[in-house]
Amino acid sequence: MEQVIYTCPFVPAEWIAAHGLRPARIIPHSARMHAAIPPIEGLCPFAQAFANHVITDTESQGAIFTTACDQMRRVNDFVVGRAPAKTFLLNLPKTWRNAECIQLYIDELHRLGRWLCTIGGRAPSADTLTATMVDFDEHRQALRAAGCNTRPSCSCHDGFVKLALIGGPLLADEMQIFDLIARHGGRIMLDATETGELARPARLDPAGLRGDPLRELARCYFESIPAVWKRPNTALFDWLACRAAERQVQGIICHRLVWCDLWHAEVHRLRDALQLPLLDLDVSGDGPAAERTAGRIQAFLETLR
Amino acid sequence: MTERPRQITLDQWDVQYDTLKAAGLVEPSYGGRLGRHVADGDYRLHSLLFDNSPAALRLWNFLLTEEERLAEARAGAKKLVGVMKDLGTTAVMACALDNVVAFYPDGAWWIPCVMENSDRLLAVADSLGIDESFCPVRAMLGAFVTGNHFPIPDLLTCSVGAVCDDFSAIAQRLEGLGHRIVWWEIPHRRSPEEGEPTVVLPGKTFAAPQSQVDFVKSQLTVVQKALEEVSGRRLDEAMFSSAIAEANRIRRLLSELRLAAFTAARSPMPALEMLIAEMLAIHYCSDRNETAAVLQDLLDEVRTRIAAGTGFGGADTVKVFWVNPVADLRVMNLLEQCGGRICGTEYLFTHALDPIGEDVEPLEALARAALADPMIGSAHDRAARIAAAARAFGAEAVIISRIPGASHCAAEGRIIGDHLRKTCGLPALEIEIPTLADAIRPALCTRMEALVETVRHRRQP
Repeated sequence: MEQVIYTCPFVPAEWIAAHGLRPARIIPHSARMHAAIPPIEGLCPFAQAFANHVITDTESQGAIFTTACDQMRRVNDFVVGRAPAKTFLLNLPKTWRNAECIQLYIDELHRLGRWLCTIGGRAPSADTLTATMVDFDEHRQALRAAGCNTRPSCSCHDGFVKLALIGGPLLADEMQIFDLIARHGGRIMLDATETGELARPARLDPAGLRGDPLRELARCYFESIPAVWKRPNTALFDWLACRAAERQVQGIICHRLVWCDLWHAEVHRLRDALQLPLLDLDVSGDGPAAERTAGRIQAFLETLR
Repeated sequence: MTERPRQITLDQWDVQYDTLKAAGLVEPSYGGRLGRHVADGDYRLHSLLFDNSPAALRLWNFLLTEEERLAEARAGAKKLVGVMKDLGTTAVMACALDNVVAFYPDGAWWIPCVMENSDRLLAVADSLGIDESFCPVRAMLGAFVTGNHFPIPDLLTCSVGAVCDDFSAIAQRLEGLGHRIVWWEIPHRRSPEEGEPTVVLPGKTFAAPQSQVDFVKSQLTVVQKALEEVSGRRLDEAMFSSAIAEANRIRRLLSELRLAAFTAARSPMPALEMLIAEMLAIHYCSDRNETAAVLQDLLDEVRTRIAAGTGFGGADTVKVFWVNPVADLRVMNLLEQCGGRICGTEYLFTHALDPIGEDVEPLEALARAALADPMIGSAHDRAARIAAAARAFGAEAVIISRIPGASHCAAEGRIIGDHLRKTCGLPALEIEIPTLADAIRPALCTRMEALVETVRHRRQP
């Protein structure tokens, strides 16, 4: 089965799978950051790492970029004509409170579908799409049920400082932040990063599924996933406040990559809105600053004890 | 009538002003000595060199009195609309209403330069967590907080979608401070699919699917409703058509000015004045009719100089195409001091210079204009348009000035530079210009001089 890679959570995996292709969400590794594109001042490390992954990946048939942020939209320009895989740029509307924007997202899914057919996919019937969506939804539900780190009152967390990790996507090698936090006496009760729980689509609504599966897919993804880049981004703040209270979070670590203006701009507001101690952790994605990061996390946790 | 074209200091302008007045210079209401603006805090004027013509005097006085015009409009019960980010489209819509004055709060990005940070707008932005890693447009946030530079608008609109993250993030912070914003979506301009109905956009370089034009039309309808609500008046097709015709009158004037200035054997108008003139097209500096008069004066001056064979520089002056506006106005002077002249520009808003269609329904025409924004498509598209213009104007080199912290500059500068080197064989220099570039002036001059020398060397048979 041909593989299609992407990294943005607003790309519905089941839409790719329904076309008979294998969706693979890539969490790029910083080691690949400069594999094909040299270091450029001001370029988001995550966007650059994904672009380099796409350029150096010889196993995938297609790669999907999105317009979720300006940096990701623009690294697509670097990739065009240089990647072995064909590329597609999915237009994600930033505004979300009007019917035209929801329809634009649906139209973009149709356009994505036509593109998938050019790389070996086939247009799914409504039944195939529905079955695929149900299958993915059930798998997600199983993952939710197994997710110990999202349970609010798990006894294994006693004695630890309960934290929320929020921010943009984590590079693969940045996942060690969970261990780092645990070593210093903290536990992530809420992974509200773009590679975590924040970016999970909503559960399927059977009624919606019976009506128009693609419309339901748009609801689960575009309308339900909160995002820092949506305008306005009130849903993100509502979602975070609700989950932080539910999980009895004592402090917040905002993990943001340098040059990510979208998360950087909100740190101040998040601190005010959530009324919790917040560590603004700016990371460059290139590793050498790991000691500084560890030191800051340790100090933050000490202040919360 | 002017004397020989020269670039003069602010102090010299005051002497020149006396001479012109004695000779019978007639000025508009906002006229006067340029030096008086320093009292308002515009200290950067002391570091700039200005063209010595009455047309330039009028241009500068017009630019530096916009805050007064906005205050007068507010006092006169007109509604103020802050149209953010789209640079050229929604201002045309707002100007269809005679009880509305539209302006771009984005323009605050030059205040820290013009006032040499004495206004502390950047410090205010810093205090809100919007530090120097953001584009200088963060000054806009400071301007809203202090309320010292423009009246708080009665309505704020902002285009989002395929825009830079800096602006989108800062506008969101603005809303977080309690300023309600009417957001409208401008999608990434994509290439039409095979067989898809397609529209050639103003400027005739870019094309977009009709479906995207229709979508943007729906978004402009949102803006239209907001304008109707704030003004208490209905906007109809005739009003929009009239506003488009007026916009085109100004765009044609500017087009003539650019063509004349950029293609003249000797540069008839310095780079700095040409930059300011281009900026007027975006929102008319809050007075559309006066903008036309200011541009007409400049055009007359340029034509007079061309006819007389006068101007700046000589045969060895190197023709440079400039990409992106500079955060520090003084750098435009530096280019000329380094042996260059401007022979073409792309300051991010070519869509505000291209005539808007008058042969289609107005909102359709405005949607097409909005989609012609060079910043909402791919960097390759933008590079192709720059390359075509650079060829047309006979550029010998290109300078791409990076805007500090701007999300678009990191990726696109390299793509544009590579494209111009490959397709036009032009040397391209990428430089970053901070709000006040004095500290890096020697380095900037060295780099620009090296570019100039490179071109002169290439000229040799």
